[in-house]
Amino acid sequence: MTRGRSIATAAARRLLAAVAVLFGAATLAFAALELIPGDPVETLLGPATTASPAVRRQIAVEYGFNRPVLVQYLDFIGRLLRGDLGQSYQLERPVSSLITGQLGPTAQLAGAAIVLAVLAALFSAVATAGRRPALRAAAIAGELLAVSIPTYWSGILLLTAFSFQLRIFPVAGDQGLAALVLPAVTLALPVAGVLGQVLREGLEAALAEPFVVTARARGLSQTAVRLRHALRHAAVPLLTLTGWLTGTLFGGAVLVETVFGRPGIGTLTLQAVSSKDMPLVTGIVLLSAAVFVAISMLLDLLYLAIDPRLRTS
Amino acid sequence: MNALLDVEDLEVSFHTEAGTVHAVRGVSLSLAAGQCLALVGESGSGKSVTARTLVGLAGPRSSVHASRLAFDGTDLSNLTESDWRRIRGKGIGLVLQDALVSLDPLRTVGAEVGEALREHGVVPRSQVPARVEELLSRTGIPDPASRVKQYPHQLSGGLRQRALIASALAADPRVLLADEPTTALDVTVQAQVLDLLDKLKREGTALLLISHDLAVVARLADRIAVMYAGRVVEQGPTADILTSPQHPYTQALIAAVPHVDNVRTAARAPIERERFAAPGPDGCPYASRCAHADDACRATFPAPATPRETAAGHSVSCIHPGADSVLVSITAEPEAVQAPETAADPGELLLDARSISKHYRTPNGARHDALLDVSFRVRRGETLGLVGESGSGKTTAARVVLGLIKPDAGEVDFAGTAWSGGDVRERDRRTLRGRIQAVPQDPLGSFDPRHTVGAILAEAIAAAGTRPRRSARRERAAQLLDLVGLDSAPLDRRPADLSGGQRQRVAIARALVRDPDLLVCDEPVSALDVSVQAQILDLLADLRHRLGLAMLFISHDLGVIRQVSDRVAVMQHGRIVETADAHTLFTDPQHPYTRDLLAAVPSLTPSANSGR
Amino acid sequence: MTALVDLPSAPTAAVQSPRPRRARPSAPVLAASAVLVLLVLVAAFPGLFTGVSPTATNPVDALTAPSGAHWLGTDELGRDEYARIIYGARPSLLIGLSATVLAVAGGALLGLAAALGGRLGDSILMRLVDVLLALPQLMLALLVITVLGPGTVNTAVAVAIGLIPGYARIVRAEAQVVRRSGYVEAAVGLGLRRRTVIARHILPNALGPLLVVATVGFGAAIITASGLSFLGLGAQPPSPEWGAMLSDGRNYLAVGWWLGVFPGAAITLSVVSINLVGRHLQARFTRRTA
Repeated sequence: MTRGRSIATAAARRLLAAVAVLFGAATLAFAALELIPGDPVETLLGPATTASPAVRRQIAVEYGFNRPVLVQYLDFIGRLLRGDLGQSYQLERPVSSLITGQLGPTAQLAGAAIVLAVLAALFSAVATAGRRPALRAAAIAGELLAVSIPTYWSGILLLTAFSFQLRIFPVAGDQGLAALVLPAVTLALPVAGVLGQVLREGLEAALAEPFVVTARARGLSQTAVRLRHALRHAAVPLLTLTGWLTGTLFGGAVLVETVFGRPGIGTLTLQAVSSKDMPLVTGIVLLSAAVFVAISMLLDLLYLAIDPRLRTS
Repeated sequence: MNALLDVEDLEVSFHTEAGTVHAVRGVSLSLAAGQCLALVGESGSGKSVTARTLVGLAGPRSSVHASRLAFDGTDLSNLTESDWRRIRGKGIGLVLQDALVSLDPLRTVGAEVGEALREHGVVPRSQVPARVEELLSRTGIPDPASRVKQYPHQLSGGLRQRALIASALAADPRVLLADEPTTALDVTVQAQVLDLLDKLKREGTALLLISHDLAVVARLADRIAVMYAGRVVEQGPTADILTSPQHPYTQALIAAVPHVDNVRTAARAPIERERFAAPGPDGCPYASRCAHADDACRATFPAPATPRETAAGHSVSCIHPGADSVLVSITAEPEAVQAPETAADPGELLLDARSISKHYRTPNGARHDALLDVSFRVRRGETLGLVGESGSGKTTAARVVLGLIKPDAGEVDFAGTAWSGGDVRERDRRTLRGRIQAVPQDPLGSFDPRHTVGAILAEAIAAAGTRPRRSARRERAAQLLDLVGLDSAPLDRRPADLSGGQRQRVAIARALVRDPDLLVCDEPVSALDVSVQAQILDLLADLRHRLGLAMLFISHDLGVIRQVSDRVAVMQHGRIVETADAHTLFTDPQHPYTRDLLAAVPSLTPSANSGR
Repeated sequence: MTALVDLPSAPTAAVQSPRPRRARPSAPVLAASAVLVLLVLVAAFPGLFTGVSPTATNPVDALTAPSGAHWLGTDELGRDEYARIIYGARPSLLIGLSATVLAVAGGALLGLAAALGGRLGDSILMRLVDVLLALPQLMLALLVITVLGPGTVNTAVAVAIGLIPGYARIVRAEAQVVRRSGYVEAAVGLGLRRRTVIARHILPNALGPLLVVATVGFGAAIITASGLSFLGLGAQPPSPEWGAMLSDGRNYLAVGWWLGVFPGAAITLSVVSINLVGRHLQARFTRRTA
């Protein structure tokens, strides 16, 4: 009856919170920008410059560095609201076009990695939860290894083995599906490790609950109980992993793209950070905050769909 | 008689890291259609294991042996998993306690009730929804069409439990195993569920009822089997067992039940602690608690035999049956209970709660009145019992009295000083805190998990102001433990390593450190086994008399309230509906709710239950 | 209520001896502890484990495979890989350790302030934490490095800032649960002052879970810190930090496979050991009363 209304108010509240977070992220980026020691013009021009003081003054006026901080901030927010992320210092192109240009390969990589990780985690968890101790121990050991191996090392190992030695996959670039395989596997590994562990523990916790005994007393088989009852309960703790997931995918993207020489947001970020290209850094910060917020909201809605007990509050 | 369930010499053991645990030994029972057999026992008795074994769900690493284990002629001893799946739900159904966790909270009631239907193909898929609604009506759930789409947490406790029963009945099993089906319910709701089970029994279902509550059992069961530590110690027709129990444990159990009809006039609680020599591996497990046990008892557990003075079909496994005639037993008619001698002149007014009100906002914005204009008084040395069902506000009242919650309106005076309400601040109260102490429902939660018992008591001792040396503190702690019936061994152990009864004693000891005038006990025995419960109640009674304590005793259990209270206040929906002295309230209740409450309590006397 | 129903999987019926309460550490955990002790020794006294200098270049021996003379081979400048790995233990582990210590301190302060302070303080602090959590840890770390510049100390700070919001949330949640617990109420009932209750009961119980999480987080901190070094933003050359070594080695993979294997193996071994011990501690010290 009021289920529709309660979902609408919940969604509205989350939207408001999302906007607040984006706002906060933008402010954070601006604050970081202000905190960089030294003259912003120096930063802009880079260390190996020979510009004269007059040129520097002109640049200062052009970029508005000579105005009070508050004014700069308001201007910054104003431009953001209009969708203008500014111009990259070093690359001299609009930040928004730089970002949208590089988004594709990274999205491909992240998407492939998530799919691989979820499939692996599901298989491992359903097959080993509550089964023979030897199987569980093997799964746990696998998960432990998966989260302990740094992505940059597993990438290098896979590169060495499959690209340099065996020459199955290309060494660098992003052309075609073959170039996606190794990077996606590398990125998926730690994610699969954590997802598998959380899913398995969730399944085992659910299997210890009384309603499982009731279900089996109705004549259900072990597998049916797992799939029809326990899995839904196990999915709930997964949804709390949002923040970690997006963080790992982003950080992983930076490292994996570097190791495999793939273009993407990761390499863009690195470049921006190394050259202190603040508009670009700001743009990427906002992008990652926006992605986080979007995924959070999606998973929150999923959470509501799975667990009816949350809907009435 | 054609037995649907025939069990002889059942043995169930588990292989754990600590060794082999014999959960069930030598259990024999039989059950026919339209009959109810009750398995009665406390925690660790093996009754739940027995029930689960009867549906092949004893658990992993279990081994099951029996010389006969049959359901409707089919041998159950060597069934494969797929054979079991055909019997579960269709031949034998299982109902657990607390539908909130026994039904899948993420699935609708309709899905849960229909699951057995679909699994066994009882009706074609298209007819499942209709059949589900039929089942819900059969178990007395009104408006089944809308309930089907709801989730278990949206139903009230009683309706949930009925839905759980409906889901067990879906495939029309001939035997229903009910493991503590009413334990989580309020007493009025419990009565309704018991009515339902009775109806099912009369319609021909065989019922195996597992309960620790002898009164519930008396209402429903035709025969009772008493279990202790995995063995059946006594078995027979209900009336016979209740009126002339033979095994010392059965006698102790019956005597321990605090009941509205059964007022124990003196401390004759059965022995909780294992004070006597432990039995050998094949001896009677009760020997360590039995005053009559001898070496023969400790060596061998005897075969069941029928003592001469009992009815046919009543068997007991004891070398010294009927030994304890000192304990109170239930006669066919409820004893005329004397009005207690009037106490000495009532003492000074210790606690004065006047017109307390407290409300909360629920998560979806509605206002919930926990307390509405509640007033009561406790005088020095007297015990006021506060009784009510869940949601009556009794716990909120306790927390206001303890100064943990600030009331929205009204005041509480303690020992003549303003204590709660108005603009009383915590620092105004602090000096008086020592004189009013709490005995909690969950003692484990009231102990810092990192502290040993010694540290817990030391903190209370130090808080009393004086800073005695370490050795003096330890001495005082040992003194307190002795006061509550413990030796000094627990001092160096953590509460998590103690038993439920021991923990509650430690909680009481801590409450007594400051020599309080008033003890506020919020359901202090609800989570304990019956025999342990009796021990703790006796301890509290003893302390009352020795130390002149006043008590505000809160419980949902009318029998317990009857046992301990001088005066009783009945709460419903945040209001006090009736206050009277205990004897008057229980023999001549005025308010309709009090009458309903008392009428709903199942009586230990079998005859009082017939004709309900 | 649960005391009255015996559970089929843990019957207490006929067991005379009590169940062992403390699980003995298993063989892998013992092995992991031994490895950790070894690592601490290597980090503290690298000279004990090798006599060769990690910075001594020798162009003649550049890029030789593992052999008797050089157990783990040499890099492009002829430096001994084994020596570099031994000397690299200190910077690699130290950055992660300092980051974890900083993060625990910062998270504890923030979380406790939020939980125990007023509602306004709680709101403000938690909004801040929400914003920080919206950014990936590596992103935050990169942001900090952008402001502070590369280097080992800055890397530790950067990684710490990435961890603090999550830790603060954990502490705040625990503190809120503890604040409402029965034993805090009992302490109030004894008449103890607020300060005493906080110090004696709330603090230790709220921080306990954080310490356990941090032991596993230590491993993650090492990976992140080494990752930053891998990207050139952390430890600077010629420091033999393992992440930086991997970054160097990546350029010579075609001709020197060993350069890409051993530094990473060192990181993995350390993190696996830390995780094993951390999980054991987690299992042992997480008391969830049923």
